[in-house]
Amino acid sequence: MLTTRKIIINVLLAIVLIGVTVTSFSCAKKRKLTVMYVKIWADSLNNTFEGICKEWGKATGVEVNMVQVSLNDQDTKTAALIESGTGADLAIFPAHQIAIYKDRLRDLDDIARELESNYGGFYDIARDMTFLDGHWYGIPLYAWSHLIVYRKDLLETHNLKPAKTFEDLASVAKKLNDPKNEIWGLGIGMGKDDDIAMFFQSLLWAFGGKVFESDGKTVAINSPETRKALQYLIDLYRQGVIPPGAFGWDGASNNKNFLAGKIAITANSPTIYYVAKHENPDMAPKILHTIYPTGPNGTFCYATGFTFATLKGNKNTELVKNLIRYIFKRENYSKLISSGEGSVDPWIRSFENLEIWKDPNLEPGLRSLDIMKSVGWPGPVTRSAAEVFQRRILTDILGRVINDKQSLDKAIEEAENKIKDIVAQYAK
Amino acid sequence: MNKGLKDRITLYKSVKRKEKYTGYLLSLPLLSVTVLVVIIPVIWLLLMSFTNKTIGSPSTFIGLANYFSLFRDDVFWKSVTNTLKFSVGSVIFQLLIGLAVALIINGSGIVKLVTRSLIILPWAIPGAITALVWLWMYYDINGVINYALRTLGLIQKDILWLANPTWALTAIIIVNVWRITPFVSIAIIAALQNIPHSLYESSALEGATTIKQFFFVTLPNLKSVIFTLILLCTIWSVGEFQIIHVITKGGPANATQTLATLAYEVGFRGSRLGQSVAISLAILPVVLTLILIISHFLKKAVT
Repeated sequence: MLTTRKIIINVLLAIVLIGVTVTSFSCAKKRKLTVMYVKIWADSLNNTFEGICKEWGKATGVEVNMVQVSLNDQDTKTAALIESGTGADLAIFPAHQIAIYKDRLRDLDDIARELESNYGGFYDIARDMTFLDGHWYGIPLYAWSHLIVYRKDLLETHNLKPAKTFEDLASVAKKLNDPKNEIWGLGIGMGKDDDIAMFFQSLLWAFGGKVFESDGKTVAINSPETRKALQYLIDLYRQGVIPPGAFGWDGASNNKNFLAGKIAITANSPTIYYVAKHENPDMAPKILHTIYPTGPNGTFCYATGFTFATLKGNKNTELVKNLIRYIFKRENYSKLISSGEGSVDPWIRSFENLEIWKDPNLEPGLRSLDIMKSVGWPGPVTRSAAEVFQRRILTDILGRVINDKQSLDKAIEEAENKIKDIVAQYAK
Repeated sequence: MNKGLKDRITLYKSVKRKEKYTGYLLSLPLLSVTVLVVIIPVIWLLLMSFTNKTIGSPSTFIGLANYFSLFRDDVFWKSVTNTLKFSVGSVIFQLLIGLAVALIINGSGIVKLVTRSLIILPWAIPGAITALVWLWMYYDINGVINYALRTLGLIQKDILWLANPTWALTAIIIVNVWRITPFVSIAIIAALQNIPHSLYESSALEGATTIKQFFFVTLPNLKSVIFTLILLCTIWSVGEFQIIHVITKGGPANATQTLATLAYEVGFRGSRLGQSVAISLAILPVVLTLILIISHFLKKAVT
C-alpha cells in the first residue's frame, strides 16, 4: 500500500527526473558563445555591437553571452583570459597585444582573406599589427584615432590657422594662452594618462627619435632627437602654456577642461566632440579636429585600435568565425562604425564612404590611419616596447626634470637604463 | 599498583589519546581550508617569483634573479619608501583621528547614535568610488577643494594636489585616512563601552581629572584594541591599491608609486608576472615582522 511518505518520495523523484531530462535536452540543443568586448565611451557603439551579436545569436539559435570589460580593467581581463584559456570564445583585444600573445591565439586566415577579397583590404597599420609570420592572428575591428583638437572660435578670434608643424603648434598655443582668464594654450596631461603618452610618442617620432632600433632590441632613446622632443614640452610647461597641474591629470582631465572652456588645444580621440554633440551642443560647433602636425622627420600618430581574437584550443571556432562574418557584413559593419559617430574608424578602406565621414570634424580620423605607427616602431611590437609605453617610462622623464629638478640628460639616461633593464628582463 | 588503579590509568590514557585525535580531527576542516586558500597559493606565488613567467608564455626557473634585479631597481626602492611613508602616515592619522572621533561620539543620546551610524559611511562606500570622487575634488582646474580653500581665504594660489610629488602623496594619505578612520572609531567605541564605569567613578573620587582619567583609565583599557587596529590598518595600508591607482596611478614620475601599484604595473601594464609576484612578496618579511611585533605587544596587553 502506498503511504503518504512513499507518494511524496515518488513525486519528488519524478520531478528531479523530469528536471534532469529537460535540462540535458536544452543544454544539448542550445549552443553558447561568450564574447568579451571592451566598452568604450561611446555608448551608441557599445549598444550597437551588443545588438549585432545578439541578433546573430537569435538568427542562429546560439545563446550569446556578452562580457563587458571597461578600458581600465582590460589589461587584467586579457591577462586572465590568456593565462586561463577560458572566459571567452571571442575577445576584443587592443591591436598591439596580438603580437604579444600570438602564440596563444588561433589564426583566422580564412576570415581575413574573405574580408580582404570582399572589401579590398585593410589599412596598412591594421595589417602590420595583426598579420604576423604569415598568419592573421587577429581580425582588425576598428581604430581609435588620436587628433589635435582646437577651439575653432578662439582660432578665429585670434585670426590663426590650425598648425601644420609642431613648431606652429607651439606658436599657436602660445598665442591662444590666456591663463589670467583661465584659458591655457595647450591642455595636455604631463603624467601617466594615455593622451600624453600617445602625444609624446607621436612627437618623438616626428622629431626623429625612437625608443628602439628596427631590430626591436637595441635601445635608441638616448639621442639628440629625444632631447628636442622632451625640451619642446618642457618649454611649453615652463612658459605656462600647459596648465601647472597637468602632472596630476588623468585621461579625462583634458576632455573635461576642454569642454569647460579652459583649454584652447589638446590631443585626444574624438571623444570631446562626441560628448559635446550629446551633452554640450554649444561647444560642438566650436571644435575643430586636425591630424597631428609634422615634425622634421614626418607626420606620425601612435596607433591604437581593437581586433577580434580567439584562443588556440577554443572549441567554438566555427561559431566564432560565423559571428565575425556576420559583424563584417556590409550593412552590419556600416551600422557599427556609424553608430560610433567618429569615436572609432574602420580598419577597412572601403568603408570610407559612409555618411558620417562627411562631417569635416570626423574626416581627420580617417586620415590619421595613414600616419599611424604601432608601439615599438621602427621595430616590431614587442613585450618590451609595450611595457615601456604602458608604464610611461618616456613621459616620466618630464616629471623627473620638472618636479624632481633632474637634468634632462640625466633623466634620459635614467630612462634608458630602465628600458635596457626591461629588455634584459624579457631576455631572461 | 592495584588492578583498579591500573585500569583507570589505562582508561585515562586512552581517553587522552582519543581527545588528542578528536582535536586533530575537529581542526581538520579549518586546516584544510587554510592550506587550500592560504598556504598553497602563497607557495605557488613563491615558486612563480623564482621564474621568468610572463603572461601567455611558459616559464623557466631563474632562481633569485627576479629579487636581485629588484634590489638594483631605483623604482622598487622608491616604492618601498613610498609604501612606508604612505602606511605610517595613514596609520598614525587613522588612529589619532579615529580615537578623537570615538571619544567625542561615545555615549548615549540620539545625536551620538545617529552620528555613529553616519560616520561609518566612508568605510562602506566602495574604494573605487571614493577614489574617483576625491580625484575630482583634487582637480587643479575647477577642483572643489582648491575652490573651498580659496573661498575661505586659506590659500592664495591653488595647491597642485596631484601634480606636486609631496602633495600627491599627502593627497592619497588623506583619502586613505578618510576611508578607514570610521572603522577605527567604531572599533574604539565598542571598546570604550566595555570599560566599567566604576573605574571612572573611583578615579574621580581619588581626584583624577578628565585628562588623567584618559591616560590612566581609558588608554590602558584600549591597549588591546589599539594594537589590533594598528595591525589591521598597517596591513590594509601596505596593500592599498585602488585609491592610489585611481587617483595618481603612481605618478607624478613614481612619486606615489607603492609596492602594490608597482606590482600591478610590472605584471599587467607590462606582462612580467614572475617579477610582479617578487615585488609583492618582497614586502612580506617586513609585514610579517611587524605582525609578530604587534602580536607580541597585543598578547602582553591582553594578559
